[in-house]
Amino acid sequence: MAAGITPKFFGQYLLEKGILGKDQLIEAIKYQKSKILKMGEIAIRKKMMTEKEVAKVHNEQKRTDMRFGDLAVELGLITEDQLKEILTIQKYNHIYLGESIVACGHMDKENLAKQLSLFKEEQQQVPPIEVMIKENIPEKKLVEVSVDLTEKLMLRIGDMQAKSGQLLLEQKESKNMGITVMMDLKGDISARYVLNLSWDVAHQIAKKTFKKDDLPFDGELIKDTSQEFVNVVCGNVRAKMLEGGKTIEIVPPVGLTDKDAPIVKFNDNEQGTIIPGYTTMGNYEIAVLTKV
Amino acid sequence: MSDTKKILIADDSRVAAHLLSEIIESIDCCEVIDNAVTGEEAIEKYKELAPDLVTMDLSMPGIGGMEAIRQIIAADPGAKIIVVSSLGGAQDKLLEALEAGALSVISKPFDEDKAVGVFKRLLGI
Repeated sequence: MAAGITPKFFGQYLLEKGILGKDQLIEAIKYQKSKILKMGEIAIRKKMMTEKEVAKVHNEQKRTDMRFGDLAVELGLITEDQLKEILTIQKYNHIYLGESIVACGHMDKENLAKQLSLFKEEQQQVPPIEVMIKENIPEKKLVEVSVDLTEKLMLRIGDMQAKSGQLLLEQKESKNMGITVMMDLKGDISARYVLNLSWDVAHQIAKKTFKKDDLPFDGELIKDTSQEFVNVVCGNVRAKMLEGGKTIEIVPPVGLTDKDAPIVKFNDNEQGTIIPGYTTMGNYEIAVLTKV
Repeated sequence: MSDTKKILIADDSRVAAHLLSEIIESIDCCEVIDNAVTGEEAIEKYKELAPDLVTMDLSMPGIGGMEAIRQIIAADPGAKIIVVSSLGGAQDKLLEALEAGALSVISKPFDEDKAVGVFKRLLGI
């Protein structure tokens, strides 16, 4: 069975397999969450903050979308080092979803061990993020994850080995190679993922998506398939970034052909890092645009 | 002859909708009856067509898939909705969708065997 591109969480595995029902999963996740020590509780217990200071942060949180820890540091109530200590304590004082499922009575320990072993076996096939960028660029982690997952999905969906080239920094525009698809990323990171595909690469993705090697050239269909490809890439980028604590919302992608826009100009307030990509079918470019 | 199960696909990508149709129609007694491309349209078509099951993309124009799940469940608490997600293993979105009333999830890119398993289980076939 094909492995995913990004790790799945244990609950989704159990749900998809029909081992756990949705109500049971929701109950177990809620029970697990209820067992997580709140950052404010830890800060009080460690005498880093008073109850009044914790209440002040909670109050401030109503006016901003900042997290508790970042806000407490910004307000000068704790230091960066104290925040790290709180996060470490929180990390080591939680229960696993499996334990929660057992505690809720939805599975016995023996079955849990069996399911965990099967789940781990499936997850071992999920490759780690392998792209490492040396240059100091804005939102480096996002760029690494975007490049890595684009390459992996080129192989998984398009059956093409893809390899990235040297970064082009601070670009303001890009020549459209055939189809350029853009997707806005909002939330903890505000950025734009742009995939510029040559027609040959885009056509190959369409052929493999529809499992038809003789798929006729149809510009509109190829554009739609490229948009769907970007949708899958960015969805997986979102999941990967969430693992690192960054929440991103994605919006439906927009596609432009070289007829619509021979040159794709980036917005004045955007800075683009372009990463050229090469496959045996042709070339492509990934651009990650961030606000300057 | 067994009853045919009617499925509504809510997905703004005609490519994803096509791929899902192929998976659904590979199951003997399942038929795709329509394709909605916005959250609003999904609600309208659900009320009009009364499908046995809806596949719901979360990232759609208009009110989006999450709100569409809430409104369909508000109108029909027994509605069977599967979330079709390109969001990898993102626990937050899945939990939100399940709490809104979805029953299960299928991830993109599709794993046909797993997807067929989810459809059959929810439709009791």
